[in-house]
Amino acid sequence: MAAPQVTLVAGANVHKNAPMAIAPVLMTLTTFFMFVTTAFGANVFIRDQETGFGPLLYTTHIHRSDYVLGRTLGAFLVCALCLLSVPFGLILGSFMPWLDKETLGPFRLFDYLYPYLFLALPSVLFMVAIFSTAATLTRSMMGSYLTALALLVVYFTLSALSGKSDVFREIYAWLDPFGIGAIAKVTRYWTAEESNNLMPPLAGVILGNRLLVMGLAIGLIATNLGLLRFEATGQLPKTRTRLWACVSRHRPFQIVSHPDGQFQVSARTWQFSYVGRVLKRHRFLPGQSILS
Amino acid sequence: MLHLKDLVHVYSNGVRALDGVTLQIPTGMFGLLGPNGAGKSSLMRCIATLQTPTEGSIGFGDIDCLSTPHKLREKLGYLPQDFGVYPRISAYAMLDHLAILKGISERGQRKEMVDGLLEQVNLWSVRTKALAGFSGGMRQRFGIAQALLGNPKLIIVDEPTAGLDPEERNRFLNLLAGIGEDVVVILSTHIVEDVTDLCPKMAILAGGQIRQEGSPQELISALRGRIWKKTIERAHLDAYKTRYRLISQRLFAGKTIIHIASDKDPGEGFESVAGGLEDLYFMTIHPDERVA
Repeated sequence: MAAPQVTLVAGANVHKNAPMAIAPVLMTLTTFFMFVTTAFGANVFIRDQETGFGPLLYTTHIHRSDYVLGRTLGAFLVCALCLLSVPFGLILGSFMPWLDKETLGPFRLFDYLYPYLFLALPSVLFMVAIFSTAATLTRSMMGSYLTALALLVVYFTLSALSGKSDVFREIYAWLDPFGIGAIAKVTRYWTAEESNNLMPPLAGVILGNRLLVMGLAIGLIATNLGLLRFEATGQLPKTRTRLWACVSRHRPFQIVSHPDGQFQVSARTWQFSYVGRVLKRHRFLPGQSILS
Repeated sequence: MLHLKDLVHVYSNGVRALDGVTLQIPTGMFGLLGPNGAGKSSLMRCIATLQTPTEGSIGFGDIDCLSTPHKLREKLGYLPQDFGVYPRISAYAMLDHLAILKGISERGQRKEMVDGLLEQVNLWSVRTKALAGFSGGMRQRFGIAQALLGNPKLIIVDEPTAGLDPEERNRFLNLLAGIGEDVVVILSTHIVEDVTDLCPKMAILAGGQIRQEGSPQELISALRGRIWKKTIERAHLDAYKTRYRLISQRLFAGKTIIHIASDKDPGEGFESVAGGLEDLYFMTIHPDERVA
């Protein structure tokens, strides 16, 4: 899988362990890493329900915010640890005896850590955030896998479009959750000299893209925090009735469930609400509705 | 003191599990008796803050359980009807983890509490075995151990002895009986003997409503002189059903023994028996349906 402007192997005169050889490998493997983050990111929020341990856990003193943030952080750290295998493998590979020493530059640890920490980890955070939120919303692993597929489809579409024109390339550079578009745009015309010694700078499009992705990740985690509830709710009144209850400017009222499964709102508003019309049709007396 | 006022709970599929439940539950053992499908587990889940009831209020002392559930959780111990566990964790590790979640952060105190509870429920010898490999009785013992963590003031036990062999059941009931005096313990069950053995106060829940409430002695004394017993042939059963109010029929050594309710002596070989809780229970859940 390669966008036209980014290849997995660097150009002819570039050292095999140059920063610009490491970064593309790392970023592309981060894309494949998406399926690993799906497994961890969704599992942390599904396992309590699937194993049946939920009731024991949700009745402890744990707060919802601790639970969500703690689990998300745990999933992120595990994914980060797993992704560490890529730089580790690259380092190990660069010391292998069968490589031609001419094609290698000096070993600099920072060359490996920099793209890992500043370029790849924001993507991992974003992926953990989106799959955790999908798991909370759909309450199933399948929901997360489907979200992964959807993300992949969006990514491929963006990636294919980016080759069409400069405008699309710019959009792709900003929006690519994996950062490959931004790096490719900035380093497109780098010489071998630059590629051997310079790292994709954390400025301009690259910085913007990484910050955007981290911002999205934080937003998704906040959404997850807002959505997750330890308490299940039963049947709620129809959305229209609830919305009407929110916007109604009459004095406070009560929504009361009726043995027949209908819900009633206050007498002052019943004739305007959908439920009120239903009640009228079934000939309930207005006096039965309740004001607080 | 636990106050339940007009609790109604309707599930998303429209099932009305609780229909106006009002109870005051004092400290000590409280038995909640009811057939399957009566709404006992729904009620237990609502009190344990795992479900938000559609209507009504729950108060424990001066805590409003619906608006501030985390305050109730600080005093709560809950043993669900069935719960699952994480696969490969040992009983000790899991109990230790739950102790941390219940706020016992100081290590020495926690070790003492966990060790003590494992001894008390007789799981010390298997504390390093994986929880997933426990038998039903051992799992229930672990469940009650975690419910007792942190010295809760409200303990909810949902059908604890269903599926336990007689020895396990006795051991479990002895454990419950040993819980302190100033703790509210709600024992929800369909096994009448458990309530007879343990509970100074009880209620009968059927069809989502409280049908009887009070002390077993008082409720049974109301039956004095009204329960009659006879051994009959199976073929005559239908005839007796139409003529008398049949409370229960059971087999003993191949013969059918029936209990009927009658204010005056029905003659015909019926002998008076002292009413038991089981007679009261059957009478309550099956009000007089005799065809005239």
